[in-house]
Amino acid sequence: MSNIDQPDQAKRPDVRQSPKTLRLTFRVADGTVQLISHERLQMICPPSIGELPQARKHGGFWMELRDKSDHVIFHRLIHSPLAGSVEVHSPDGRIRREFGDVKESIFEVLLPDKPDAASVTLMGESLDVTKVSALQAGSAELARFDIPRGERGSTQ
Amino acid sequence: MSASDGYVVGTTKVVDHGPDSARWNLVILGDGYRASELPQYHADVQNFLVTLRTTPPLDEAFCGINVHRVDVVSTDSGADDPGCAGGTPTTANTYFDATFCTDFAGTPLDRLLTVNTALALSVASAQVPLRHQVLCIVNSSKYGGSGGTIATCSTNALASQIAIHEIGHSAFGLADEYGGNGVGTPAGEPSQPNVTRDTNRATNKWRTLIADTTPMPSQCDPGCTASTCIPPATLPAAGAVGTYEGAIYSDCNTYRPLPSCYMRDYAPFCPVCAGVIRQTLQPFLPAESINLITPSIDFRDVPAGMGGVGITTHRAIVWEVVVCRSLTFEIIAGPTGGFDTPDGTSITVTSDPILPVTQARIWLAYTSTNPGDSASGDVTVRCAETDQTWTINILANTIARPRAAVALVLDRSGSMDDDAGDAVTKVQKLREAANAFISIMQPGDGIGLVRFNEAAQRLMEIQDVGAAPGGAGRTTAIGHISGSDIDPAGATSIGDGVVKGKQMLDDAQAAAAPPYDVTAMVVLTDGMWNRPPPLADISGSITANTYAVGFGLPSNISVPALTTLCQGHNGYLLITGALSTDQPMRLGKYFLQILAGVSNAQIAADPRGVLGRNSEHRIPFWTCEADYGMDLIVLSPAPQAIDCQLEAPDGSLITPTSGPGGANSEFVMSQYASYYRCALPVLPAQAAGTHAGLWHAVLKPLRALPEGVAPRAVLPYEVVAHVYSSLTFSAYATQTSFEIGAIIRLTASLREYEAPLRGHADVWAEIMRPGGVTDVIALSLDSGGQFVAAYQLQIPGVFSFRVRARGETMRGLLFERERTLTGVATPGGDNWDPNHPKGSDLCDLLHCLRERGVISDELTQRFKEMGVDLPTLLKCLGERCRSRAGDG
Ligand SMILES: [Zn+2]
Ligand SMILES: [Zn+2]
Repeated sequence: MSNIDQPDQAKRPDVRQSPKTLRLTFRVADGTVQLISHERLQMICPPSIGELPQARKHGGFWMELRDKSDHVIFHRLIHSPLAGSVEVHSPDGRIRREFGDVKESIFEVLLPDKPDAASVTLMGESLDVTKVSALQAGSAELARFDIPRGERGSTQ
Repeated sequence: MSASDGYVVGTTKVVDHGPDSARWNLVILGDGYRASELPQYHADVQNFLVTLRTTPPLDEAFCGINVHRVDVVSTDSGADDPGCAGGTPTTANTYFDATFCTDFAGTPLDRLLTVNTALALSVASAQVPLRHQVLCIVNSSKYGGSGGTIATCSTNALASQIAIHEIGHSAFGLADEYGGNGVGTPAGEPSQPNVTRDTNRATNKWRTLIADTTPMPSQCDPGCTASTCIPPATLPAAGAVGTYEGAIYSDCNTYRPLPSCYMRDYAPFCPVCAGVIRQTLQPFLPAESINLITPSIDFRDVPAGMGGVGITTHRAIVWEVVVCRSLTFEIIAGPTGGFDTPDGTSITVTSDPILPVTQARIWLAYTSTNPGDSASGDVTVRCAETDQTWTINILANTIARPRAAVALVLDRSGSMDDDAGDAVTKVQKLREAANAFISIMQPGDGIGLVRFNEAAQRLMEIQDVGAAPGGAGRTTAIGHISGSDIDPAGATSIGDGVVKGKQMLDDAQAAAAPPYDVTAMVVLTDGMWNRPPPLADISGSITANTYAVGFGLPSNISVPALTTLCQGHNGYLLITGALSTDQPMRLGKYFLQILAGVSNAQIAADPRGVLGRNSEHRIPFWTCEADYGMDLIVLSPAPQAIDCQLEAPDGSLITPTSGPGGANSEFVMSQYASYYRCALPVLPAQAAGTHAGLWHAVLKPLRALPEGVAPRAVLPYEVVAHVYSSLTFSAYATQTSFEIGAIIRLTASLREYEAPLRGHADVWAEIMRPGGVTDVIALSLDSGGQFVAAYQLQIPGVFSFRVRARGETMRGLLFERERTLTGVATPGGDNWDPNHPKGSDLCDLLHCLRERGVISDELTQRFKEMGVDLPTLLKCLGERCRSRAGDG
């Protein structure tokens, strides 16, 4: 038979590793951010998108995973971490975002669980969302946390 | 409020594209669904999934996504709606505490629908630890939703768009592409990939997607006076990626890639956003693989057809494919050897919407010829996208029509002299039904007879029935049935009857050359087995397909033992109950259905009626292209008095004198049945009009009756259409308890050319409950491809289930199939004691007197002399005993 099918290849399990993912949960309250829990998960971590944003130059928010030498080894864009805004969808098809002062919120970040990671840094413009506008100065480091140890943990 | 207002039921992986560790996992939660509304929740999830998987570029990345549906029951239906935009405030106690009019920074926002995020995340993590995104669907038709850590949307038809936009933020890090007054717009270059301040084509972050001919900036917002945007001299081409002013909450100096995008107005994702989504999901996509499952196709032992018309069988070349794009498999050579390709020569497949592996099928067909013939060939198929080719060998051979040997094992105990329910004795009903059965059997099949009362005898060894009518075996068997051999007397030993039937079939198989292809035993009894051996002791040694007919009321019949006997041997038990005057031929119909099972015929229709003196009845029934033969049978106490003709779909009339020769038809008249046996098409010269389509059996009373046939005012009849077909239907009932309240499970399956039905079909059961109340239930298709339903037997007695299927064949033609099943419930039904049948002592005495033959003519005469009308007394007692049994 001129059968060139390769059943072995088809039967083979997905060859890519299932790297671990670190899920970090943060709470923002009264202008400060706390790491409240972490979980190490046997699942694929979504990749970084785009070039690494730079402090002062770029706006918005992102997380940086840094090694012992403080080099950024991964970054994750965060849409609206501080719940200082909500998006309202109207039946007429219009979308608008409302900004306001919200005392407390929770957000999660998925990062690759890299052995050389030492810290995670929240970068952004301000934890006081009412100050975020085109007139303000650029972004800076807002908070930094050591990479937590153990499969899972919680500060609460 | 909240978690106390309901409970988590569990999780179903509704889209399974592989292990959670290797896929992107979406978890869907439901809020505001009561337990009774979970089916609606399941439908709402499916609706959302249709939107999700048809939204580019998620369509081509869907193979990398798993979806987990968490069922959560809430105390109340819906969501809180405080009525902040007018209207009456309403509250609903729901598990995740969904509410419209969520307060934000002191202002309630009507369409802002939110849930308790921390609780939702906690439930999602507990149910699906490896979650990437959580969506909560809220059971309200009001438009609303929200984003943030989890996405929320209502069941409003358009609200799924909210969820997808919000997942664009939370899962893919996309920015809003709509403008505004600048509040919330970052000072520098936005970090998000789909919005920018940079209109320089050399440095813009999506510059690889911008054509040289597209002006930069591509469009300025005319409403923005403070902008530095300089309008282009020429307009960009429609759909050209560039920089269009107005994005991320500012109308001025911020730009988006296209005028429209899901992140602005729910239009399709722009190429920049689509690229981000693809890039994010890329690591989750499975590796592509194509695996041929059928290196060769074997049409082994396909039976010869009827009247020279072959039987067509379809088999598929099957590949298991793991793929995200679409792949086309096409035949590039062959098939050689005379094989057909009934479904075309190519097939295109893409990822399965819910399963990790897709099957690609190209169908081949073989039509049988003459017994002993064989054929071989091959076919070469190429995958257009991968350029792989496969050559598949094909083999086929034709064998003679399978022959069946049938042992009728018949009860002749004293109680067979009782009234069947319509003033005719049971034994007479049995004579009519068995006579019709034997008359309709196909030439080449074998018939044998066993009778039993307290002991069993082999009345007639298995013998070829011979021609129809008049074959030697047939004539001998009918002689035994009509004569005194089955006159009722004595007690009941079903077990001995079954032993003798089994031995007779075994002996026949040992002697037959070649052996029969199918052996079947049909046991008819109206009683408890009250003489050894017990059925359970002998059941294991039986190899024949075993059917049983319980003739009478379930309280008098060994239902559990007979059910076990049949269910273990590829057959089933039917219980007649008392026969009524409007269905006097029920026993005959049950026998015909069993005959259909033995000879692998399908029941396409079985209406009944009563012909008046001047009436003409036109009885419709359908045949389809998969049918290759049919028997159109008329059961009647006097078939000789009925003129029966067949009207083909094209209007051609088939009469008793049409064939054989001119037509592929043969008309046979016997004492209790007449029938046409046809191969399809019936008229080879008019093949199209006399094969598939709507047929009519046209019944009229004969004007000139044959000699010896007495005229009748009314002629009751049952018409049964048996078709021999490659579209097969089977239905079984499974009952493990016989108590009142027992559950009976109905299972049916449809196959077309020995593969699962490719067209659509509805399957349902028309239920006749004890007492004549009717009920209908639908059978639903399960994941294994079977149609299933469960039904509770809530009152004592016999339930009949006419399981029917109606659908379309792969060629789009209508077909109908049916099979009748019965179920039984009686008080104490699980503790049937054969030696102590339920009933009063008086009834037992009556039964005993009859079985032992105590009531002789002489005794009757003596009583008469004493002034006692013994026959009437016994009749009254008999009726009383029957009604008691009927009461359960
Ligand atoms: Zn948005
Ligand atoms: Zn976009």
